[in-house]
Amino acid sequence: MAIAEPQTVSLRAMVRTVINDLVAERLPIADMSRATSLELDRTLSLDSRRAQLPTSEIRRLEGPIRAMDVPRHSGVGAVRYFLDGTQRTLPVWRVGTTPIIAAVTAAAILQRPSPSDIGIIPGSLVARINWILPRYTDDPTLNHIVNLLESMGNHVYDPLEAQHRDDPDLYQRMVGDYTDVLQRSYSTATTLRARIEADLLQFWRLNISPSDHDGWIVVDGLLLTDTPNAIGLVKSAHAQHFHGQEAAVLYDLPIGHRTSAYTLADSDVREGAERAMWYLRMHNATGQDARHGLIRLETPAVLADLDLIDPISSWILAERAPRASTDARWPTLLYPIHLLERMLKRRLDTLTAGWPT
Amino acid sequence: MDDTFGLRSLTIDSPASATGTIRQFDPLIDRKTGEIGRVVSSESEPSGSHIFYFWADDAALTLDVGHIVVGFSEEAAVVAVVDEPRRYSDMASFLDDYFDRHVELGLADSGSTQRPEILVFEAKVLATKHVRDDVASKRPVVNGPVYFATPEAIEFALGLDNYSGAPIPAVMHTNGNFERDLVEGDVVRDEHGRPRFQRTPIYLDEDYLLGPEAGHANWTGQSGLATKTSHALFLISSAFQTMEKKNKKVAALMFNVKGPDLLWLDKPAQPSEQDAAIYAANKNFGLGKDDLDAYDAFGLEPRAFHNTRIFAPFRPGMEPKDIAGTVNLDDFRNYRSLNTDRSMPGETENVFPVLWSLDTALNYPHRIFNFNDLDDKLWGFIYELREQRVKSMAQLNAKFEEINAYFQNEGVSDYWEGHHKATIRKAQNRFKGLQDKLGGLLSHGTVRSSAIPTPDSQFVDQELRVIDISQTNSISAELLVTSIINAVWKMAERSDLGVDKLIIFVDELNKYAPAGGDGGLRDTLVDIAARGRHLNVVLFGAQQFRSRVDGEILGNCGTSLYGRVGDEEIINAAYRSISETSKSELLGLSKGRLLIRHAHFREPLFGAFPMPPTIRGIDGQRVFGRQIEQGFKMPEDPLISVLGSVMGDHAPSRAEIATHCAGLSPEVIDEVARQIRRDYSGGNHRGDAWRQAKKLLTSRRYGANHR
Repeated sequence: MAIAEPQTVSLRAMVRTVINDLVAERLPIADMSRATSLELDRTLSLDSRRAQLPTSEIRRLEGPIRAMDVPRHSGVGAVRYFLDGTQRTLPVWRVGTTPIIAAVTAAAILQRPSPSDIGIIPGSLVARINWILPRYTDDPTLNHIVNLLESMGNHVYDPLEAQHRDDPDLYQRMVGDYTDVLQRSYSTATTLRARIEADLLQFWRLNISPSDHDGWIVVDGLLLTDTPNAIGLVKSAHAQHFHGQEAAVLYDLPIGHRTSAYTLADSDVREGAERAMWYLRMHNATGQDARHGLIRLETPAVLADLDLIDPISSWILAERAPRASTDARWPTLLYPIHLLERMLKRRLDTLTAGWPT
Repeated sequence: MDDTFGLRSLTIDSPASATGTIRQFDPLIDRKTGEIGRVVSSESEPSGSHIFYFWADDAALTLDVGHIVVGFSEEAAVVAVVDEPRRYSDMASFLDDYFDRHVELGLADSGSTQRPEILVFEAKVLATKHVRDDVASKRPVVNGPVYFATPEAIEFALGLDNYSGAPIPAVMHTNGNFERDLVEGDVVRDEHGRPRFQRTPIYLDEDYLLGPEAGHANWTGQSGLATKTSHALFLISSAFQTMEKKNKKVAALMFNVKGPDLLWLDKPAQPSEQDAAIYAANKNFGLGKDDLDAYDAFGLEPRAFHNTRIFAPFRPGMEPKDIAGTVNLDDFRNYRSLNTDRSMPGETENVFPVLWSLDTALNYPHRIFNFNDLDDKLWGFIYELREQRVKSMAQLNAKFEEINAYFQNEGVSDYWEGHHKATIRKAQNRFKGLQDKLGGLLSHGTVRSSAIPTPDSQFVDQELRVIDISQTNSISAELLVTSIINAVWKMAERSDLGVDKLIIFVDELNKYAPAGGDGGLRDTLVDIAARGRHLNVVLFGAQQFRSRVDGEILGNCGTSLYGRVGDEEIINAAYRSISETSKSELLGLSKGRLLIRHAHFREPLFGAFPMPPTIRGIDGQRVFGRQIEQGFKMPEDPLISVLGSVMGDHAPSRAEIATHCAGLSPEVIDEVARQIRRDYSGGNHRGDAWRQAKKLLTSRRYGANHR
């Protein structure tokens, strides 16, 4: 039932193998292992997906955007699964002006059949190192590294793959832009992670959901695929879909209230069908930033029954306790997601053990 | 491979995997119960040679402080005792839970997610068993499973295999796993149907308790909580029975300091069939099933001490009168005159008087005279009395009369034998009140005895000698303790004890050997503590306040036991070697439980012990003091018993004896019975014992001249 082979070789070991080969081949390369991870690189955009989000019109599924009280739910809700991934995007080498990036990714599905019974679904843990560097240059060193990494069983991704496909000449010029390649490498890493998460969601849909028809899964982040019983939970909603008074309704949303649901008019932004979206205020924002405790929930838009929005909201509200109080994102971070992140980060720690940064 | 919570089960490559090291130590671990936790170490709390940490499995609900567990290093099993527990969660502050539950909008009582908590125990290493028996490994445990220890593991950890002397049962350790049937492996249940926890007897090494390798034992605990004396009695009984099996002779000397506590040690806690009714009538129902089971598990019998002797001075003013300046204790009969609670007819066969002449008391002038009085002049006069062989108060009084007469002669100097008359007057004054001062211990005449034992005579095998000082004044009490212990110590130095090992039990040790004290009995006790194990004398001491006992005595003690300790006491440095968790346990320790530290144990252990095999003193006083009154015993019973043992089938009938005893007091009948026993037991009889008994009864009834 597993969807991936486990990553058994650490990044450090892998790098050592490549270095030994390059030294033997007398190929010049510059070390970048002490550079900060791209997640912390302020020169890069923090949310590469932000540029992808539309500013298009919305379609209101429940009438004008207004605040709606979410009925409180008692007992255990239907959410029994949680999906999340985490990554570290690490500069490793530089050949000339071209950085070579290792994208270390871990993702998994956590199941919670009862409040005290929590664990990763066996076979659902993915931990992987992907390499990101241009693969269509004339540089013999770069090409040698690509061949070497692939011969070792690794996947190599070109951050300018689309550009190469569309305009090979432009590609050769872009390859030399150090900062741009870094930015695109980071975007590529994020995309790879999103792909892994999508694969995991599909795995859940095909292998887990059939035996638990009533169980729902919360996916940390955008809901990228059209999966029944799946809820996307966006913790940091940078894109503002509302304007004017409706935006004010959003930022004035009281605790335990949601906005009415809507969908984006330009639904071709993501694969699959449109999404039903709404915001939910998890914690009291009095005196806080207007986005404090504010999350956006997404479900496949073709919700046969919009009446599910309130129950879904109440299930999510019930997840306010316990708090992930050791994490600065606790107002919007569900505790099971927090636990899953800790497990995944430990996996990353194992894979990057001994790495300088 | 189960990846729950990101943990990995043991794999083939793991240092102590199930297919490797762990399998070799199967006899040490309770596999039926299974893994109860996993060893963890962190940057701030790494595992070490003497300590490690493990988190407890959620299902290990019985695991608790004091239990013994097994972890593993690469090639060894590490046996440890569980100490400090800590429960961790990832909550940053208590307020978070408050806000989760209270301040925010009402949530369901049972949340959707239960915040994980782990229970981490600290474990103190007792012993490490390497795969090679010639390797003494100190390597810390590795991350891996933890199991409950089996009795075999516990015995290994406590060094039982290396005991040079006989193992003496001391306490019972109870572990957190269940006892299992050896054949089927099923859980054993108690009479209530509950699973019984695994129990393992904890033994002390004879050579380290009674010498010569180490010796002595010390109990600390609050008074009235049935621990110190109770366990001391149990341990003495255990030592007696163990030594008996080894054909070694042992005896004990004890001082009864309170009520009838130690006066009925020859009576069992568990009544015989014959005595069951009288025990029950006095609401004494014997040992409970748990106690009996414990004795069984220890391999001991819950039997009383069959060879007890009780010594007591006389009540003040009731010392026997001297005849021609001599008191012959062989003629002693009046047990009511003894300063002891054990004086009722039929129960005094093993009770003996203690009485001193003046010369004995003058061996301890610093005890019987005030410090300010004992100047050089008085010392000189005392030496003079010894030179002149003044041995009794009667002789002293005669001497003073002689001296008075001397000074009354005109023209004589103010000095007699070099002593000024003022000194002599002072001495006369001080000696005048001496008999009252020593309240029943000092005779007027010279004391003689040949037939009855004395408290400083040689010991016999299995003898329990009790000196009753509970009702004497403090001066007499101290004198008796000091003189008897000194005498016994001298016997030990001459190798003249009469037994292979002698145990001296001293309660209120802080009184006789106080910290910072000097001189007197303290020096003797320190000497015993230092050298006693080589001379076959060991000190079993007990006190409420260990911090107030001389450090040299405590430092020489190979075995220390702790019952409940008060909060003001436990903060003292005397307890610094005990962990904070154990100290907290001691503050509230229940009856019947002790913390024990022994030479072989790397860490102290908690254990339980059964009630002593002897009846409680207060119960004994009630049961055996009122037998006749309650109708369980007839006044003629002692005589019937003696005649039965002396004459066998030729003894007269009960009715006949009862007829001849009718109207006589129980004390008189008892006295006659003792006389017959003395005269006729051991095959020394001549003539008919019953005829002699009738003569004595008649004599008592009508006087000595009646025919």
